[in-house]
Amino acid sequence: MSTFVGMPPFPTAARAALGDTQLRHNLAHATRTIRDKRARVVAEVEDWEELRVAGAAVKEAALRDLATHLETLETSLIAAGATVHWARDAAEANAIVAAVARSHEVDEVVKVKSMATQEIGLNEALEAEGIAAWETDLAELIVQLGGDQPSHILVPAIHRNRAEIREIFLRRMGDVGRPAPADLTDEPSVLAGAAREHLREKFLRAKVAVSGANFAVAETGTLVVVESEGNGRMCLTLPEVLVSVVGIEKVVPTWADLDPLLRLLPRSSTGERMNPYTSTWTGVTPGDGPQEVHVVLLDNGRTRALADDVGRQALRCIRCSACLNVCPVYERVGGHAYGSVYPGPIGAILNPLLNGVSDEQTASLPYASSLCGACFEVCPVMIDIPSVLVDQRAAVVDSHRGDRVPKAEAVAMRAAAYAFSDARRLAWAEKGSGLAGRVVARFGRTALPGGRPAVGRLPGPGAAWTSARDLPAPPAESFRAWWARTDGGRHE
Amino acid sequence: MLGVTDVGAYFPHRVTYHPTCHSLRMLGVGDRPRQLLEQVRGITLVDLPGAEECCGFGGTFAVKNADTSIAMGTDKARHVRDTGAEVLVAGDNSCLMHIGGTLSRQRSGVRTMHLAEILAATA
Amino acid sequence: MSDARSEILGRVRSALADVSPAVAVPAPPRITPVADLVALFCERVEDYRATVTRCSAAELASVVADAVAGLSVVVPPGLDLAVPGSVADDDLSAAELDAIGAVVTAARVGIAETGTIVLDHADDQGRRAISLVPDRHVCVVREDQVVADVPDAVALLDPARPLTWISGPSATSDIELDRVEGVHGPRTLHVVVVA
Ligand code: SF4
Repeated sequence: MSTFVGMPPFPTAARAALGDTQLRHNLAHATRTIRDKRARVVAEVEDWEELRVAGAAVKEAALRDLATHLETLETSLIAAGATVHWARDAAEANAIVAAVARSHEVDEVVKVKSMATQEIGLNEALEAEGIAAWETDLAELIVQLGGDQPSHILVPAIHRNRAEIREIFLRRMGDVGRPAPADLTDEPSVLAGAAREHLREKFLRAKVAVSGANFAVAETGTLVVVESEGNGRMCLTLPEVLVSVVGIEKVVPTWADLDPLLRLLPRSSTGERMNPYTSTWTGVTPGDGPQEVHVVLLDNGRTRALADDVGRQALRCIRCSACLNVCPVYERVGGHAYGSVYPGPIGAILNPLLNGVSDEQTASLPYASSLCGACFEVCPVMIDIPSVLVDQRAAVVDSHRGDRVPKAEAVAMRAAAYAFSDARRLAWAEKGSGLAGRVVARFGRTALPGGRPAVGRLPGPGAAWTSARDLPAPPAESFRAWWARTDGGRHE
Repeated sequence: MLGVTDVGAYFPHRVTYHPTCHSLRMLGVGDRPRQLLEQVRGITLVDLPGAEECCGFGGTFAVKNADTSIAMGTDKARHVRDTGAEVLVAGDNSCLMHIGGTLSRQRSGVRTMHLAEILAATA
Repeated sequence: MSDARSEILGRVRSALADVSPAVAVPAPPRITPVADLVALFCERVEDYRATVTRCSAAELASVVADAVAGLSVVVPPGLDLAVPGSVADDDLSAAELDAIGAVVTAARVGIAETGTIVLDHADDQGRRAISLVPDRHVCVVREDQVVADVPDAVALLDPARPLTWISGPSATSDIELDRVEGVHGPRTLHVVVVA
């Protein structure tokens, strides 16, 4: 469910996105801005690496004893006056939220931006029940009004520029509530002002709100929402009823565990020392905020990921989106190409882990990476995304093992795995490529500057390479052979 | 090799250096190769904009996601051309093959060389 | 729903059957202490484009009166400060709060490193809605409430209470990742640091 229905595999979707000049411009500008901001505030923290280690350890400890912490969380929540629900999958979670809304006879709910509710398709499910779900985060509002899909975890409308947003507001706001002023400009502050006016009437009248949670503290039953705009505070404070859909991996054992995470998240995410607003609440507080509080604990594939020894670490993710912002692939193709509410490097591992790799689209995601490692370097909870990608590629290959004719790539992968598994074999493989180099050199049609032979356009499987790049013939002597023959260059 | 500072090499050309993801992030070699290059006599070393960004090779990626790989390689090649360098140096033959192939197709006239070739150069 | 509950917990247990629950969790690092916490706090709050005024206890009443001049004002019932012309919150509705221009509250703790104030919504801060709906929030922080960093605040705060961590005025970066102050929360944050 976390993937959009009917999406083509990544390479096909990426090709279309690469051709969209406006999209590439918007993405390049936005990701560069956020990368620079993050780098600045991370550099400020002298022990950033130790902080990452602590954050990763907190989440890892929570996951490794998850059943205990979930039971503790449930007990604490109930003691604090909340109602706890469990949902095995998206349909169950949606039905629970819809039932709560129906019991209050409302035809609308206000929503805080939440990845979990996007993942389960809650808005569509509520709409089918005649309940409108109003997104109140500015970017979510832009996506919702534009009839669009989110393309980034933190800034779902990152693919839109100010002119496009102005146009969407002018065209659509009037259909669902207070219209945008006719003299709306494309100044970001003016656009934000229009959203404020449009949403305020919804906040003031809403009876039921739906949220997610960034963290859920087991020992105290406290939920945490980290946000910027104040739409979260509105939803968490003004309505009478609050339903929070929380993935089971959001649990942390103790209140003190929030410390490293609350320091890591804003710097990694929006590139701020602290985000404007963080709200925490523990069940019901008499006389303050919602007096009916529900928490839906959601599995929806998480236990599948939990069972994967290599992939389990992906559940540490705190959805900061730093890995998207540094990813050279994401920067060029954007979020839609991943076909999921979880795009970018984390999406490329999380979707296969949650859903398996039986469908072609999900199976294409582990390959949507050059394995450059930039994501691992920035991840605040040290998820080794490249290793999980490689492991998921193996899972894809395995899933084709029963095929009668092995896919060419399965054969190549196995050969590569064999060659790279041992340094001695690598030496042999390089010798082999030296031989191939001599053969190709004889038929080489072009020459690289410096007189080195190069291969121009090749037919067949080689065409993917040579459509825009020449293939330099492998050097007749590999670096290793050269090093051995000349004793490290001393006797050339 | 990395403890050495006087490399005894001579390479009188304008050179830019691509650090490669493998040495930068997996081996943690840092800027030591750059320091070595700075020791080469006669060399003019120019900064490569966006140096730390992946060139887009990535093994199977270059073939399975050829369009994205080419988009990344093209940007890398553009940065290389912007430096006005005669030679692009890296410590990884795969990246050199990728960026070199792109530069070659573009008839850019920029030559690619392995770090070790420069450090062993005497003329 | 107990059905879903036992099934999920069962799946979790079998997923982790061969996994040791023991993980060494190192203590998160502490920042190097700075000499003047209050100065750092003020500087970091200002970085968010909030207004900061430092004053003595004797000056507080007039500084706060200036900060809300010309606006209708709501105050929490337990605020230990006379604000001329203010109404004390008496379960005002959201719509009534929306018609009010400013709110004056105390705070529970200030965090120097991040320029954050935390409200625990005790009687001198009021319920959450009153510091949310009015467009200007004047927040009085005592110098002795300022701590160095996030872990100090976490240790002080009581999770049983609702907490609101505030770092500057409401803001968004949703349009081209350009930071814009002022969306749904108070668009003006005025922090008064009293000696
Ligand atoms: S994988 Fe790491 S970097 Fe990416 S969103 Fe999750 S926490 Fe952030």
